[in-house]
Amino acid sequence: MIWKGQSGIAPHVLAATTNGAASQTVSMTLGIAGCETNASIQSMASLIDARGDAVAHDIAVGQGENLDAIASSLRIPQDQWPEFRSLLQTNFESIFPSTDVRSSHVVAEIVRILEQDERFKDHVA
Amino acid sequence: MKMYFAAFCSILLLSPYSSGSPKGNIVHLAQTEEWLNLVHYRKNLASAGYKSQADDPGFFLSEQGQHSPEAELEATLNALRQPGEGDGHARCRFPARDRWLRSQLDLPATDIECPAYEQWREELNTETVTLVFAASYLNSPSSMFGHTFTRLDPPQDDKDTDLLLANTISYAADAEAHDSELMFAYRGIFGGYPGITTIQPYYEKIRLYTDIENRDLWEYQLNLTPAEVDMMLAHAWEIRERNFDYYFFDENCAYRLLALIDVARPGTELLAEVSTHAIPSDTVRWVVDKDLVEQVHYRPSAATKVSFALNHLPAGDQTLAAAIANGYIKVDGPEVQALSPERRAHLLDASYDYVRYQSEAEGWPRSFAAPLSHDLLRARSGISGTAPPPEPEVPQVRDDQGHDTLRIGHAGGRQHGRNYAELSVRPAYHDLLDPPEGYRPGAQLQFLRFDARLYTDNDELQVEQIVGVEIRSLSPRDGFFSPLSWQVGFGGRRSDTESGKRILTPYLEGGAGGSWRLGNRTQALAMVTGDAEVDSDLRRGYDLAPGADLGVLHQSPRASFLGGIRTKAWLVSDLHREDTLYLNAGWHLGRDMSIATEFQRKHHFDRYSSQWQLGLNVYF
Repeated sequence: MIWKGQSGIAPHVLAATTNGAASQTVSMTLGIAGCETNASIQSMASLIDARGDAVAHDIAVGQGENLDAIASSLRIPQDQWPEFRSLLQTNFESIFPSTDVRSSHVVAEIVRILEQDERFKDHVA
Repeated sequence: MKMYFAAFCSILLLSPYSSGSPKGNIVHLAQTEEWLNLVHYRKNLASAGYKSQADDPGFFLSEQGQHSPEAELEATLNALRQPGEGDGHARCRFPARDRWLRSQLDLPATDIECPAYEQWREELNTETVTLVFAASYLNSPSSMFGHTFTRLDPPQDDKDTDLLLANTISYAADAEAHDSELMFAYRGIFGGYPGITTIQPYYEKIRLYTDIENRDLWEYQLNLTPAEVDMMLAHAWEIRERNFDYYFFDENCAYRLLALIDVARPGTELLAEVSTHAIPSDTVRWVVDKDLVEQVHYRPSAATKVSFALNHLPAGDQTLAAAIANGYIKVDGPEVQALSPERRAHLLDASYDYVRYQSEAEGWPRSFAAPLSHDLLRARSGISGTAPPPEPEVPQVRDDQGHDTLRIGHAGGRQHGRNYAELSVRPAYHDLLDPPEGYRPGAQLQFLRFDARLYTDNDELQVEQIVGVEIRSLSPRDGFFSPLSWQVGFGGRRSDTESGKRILTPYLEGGAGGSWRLGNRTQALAMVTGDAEVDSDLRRGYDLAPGADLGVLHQSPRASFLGGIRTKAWLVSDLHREDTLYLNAGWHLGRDMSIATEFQRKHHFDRYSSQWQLGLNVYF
């Protein structure tokens, strides 16, 4: 789920005092329907899984470090980043169609949009 | 990596030990700082000799390795010289030892294939190393000690890399999930948790510290040379899956990172700075003092960003943001549509950040927060080409630039007609009247403070108070945030009795309430408090008092003050009120010295008494 619900009180008390091991929520084995296990797509998927709400924000705004990290993980050259950012921003509603959208849909949809674009299709092949 | 190999070959030729006798070399080498660091040997406190801090037989090549630097060095040399290659070979398991020994001794400079290590190095793709410090968060004084980890930064000129995707190395206690908090604290202090090294992408850390714990991050890029970075990673590989028992106070997250830096740059000797405890914020000071820092970058937390964004909205838009976040008006309502695209963009951005913050920190129900978040972004995605909103300014004083944490104070004063001289020692950490720069406003954490007084009329020496722990957290409430202010403390202190004698009693106190901003650096506080004291001089052996505390706190780089009235109603041993008017102030002479004054007028047991004090606090 992109917009998770959280209680968020416990970590303040525990993690702070003790430097306890951070819980590892994401694994590289994240199953993404219809996607081959391309390393750069995996990297993007892990980022979206970890910080989905921040990624959603950057895509809606059309800029931000999370969006740049996605461009970077897909090895899109920096001179194409402005086009990449605005392509995803324009498609915000298909990438995030509902409140309950899951990160697997987000990843698959970004890949689909890029595949259909001459400028970027090589980066998700 | 091949490039650095060449560099090491040339060192080989210059090696000062290449001509000595082999046995003498080993004895000598085994005592060098480099070797002691590589195997994590520390001198025994009680007896002669050494013990390695590694608690893992897999880290040693000799059976006596944990206690004998020499035996381990000899075994390492033998293993390195064995023919063969591949991941299981000692040269692949211990690339840092290999590298260093080769630079010291006349070993044949043959290349070796280590597929696993080489792949690991390739994945890490590291050019520079950054030490990241997670600062404390306002409403969590227990986070004041901070946390540190390292980030492995890819080459900056590489267009395909991004710092968010960079890897981090951190060291933490591998606590079992079912352990209670008490168990967690106990085993953390006395040992029992294995310490493990984890490698995670930086965005995972940002998720934890920036989004969930709301801690600002300070990124200190180290000025390690490529060869030093190489050595650090080679050593990180050696200890990667090895167990070093974890202790919260000394052998903690920060300690292991210092050890890595010591290995990377021999002669730094950061670990020599550690005495009884390694507070992460202090370890950052040492790293800065040893000239290891190239540049510093600040990354504000979600909480810092959202309050900045809200404060920067025009006043009317702040009201709109609150109305949107509470569901009173729609995201596409006419009030919002009427704004210019840029103002609308900033309003939607700030509202989104606020809703995310509230669902993260205050547990707003998902059924409300998620649809609102989605609506806000959908509306925002229709606006493009606006300038990005301003970012929070970098604080002028970093956490590592605040006052040092050991405080020693000397004062003279007068208590109910008797003059005294007072000495106060406080090992850690910060109180509300200490110089505030580099610390969170409104947060206080004191450990093991000890105050003693010498009364001059009869040369009587008295313990005035011993603070075990004292925490205060004052976070102002406003239209957007409604944090609880609270305080808790225990220790021993002087308490009045009906006869007029002041007795030393153990106490436990706590309180909760609110605080409201009166100005940029000033807040008013109102707390409901509870006190308990235990002493045989009390009629029933103990006493309890509900109470209240109303005050005003001002903190600025030049001066701080805290004044107010406090009332307690003692209920058990006696029925009586204790009312106190207090004013405490600190005049800061720079960040490491402060003039401290106190004044108290008290009504207790139907009599009035006054106390005042003037002194100097120095921070070390």
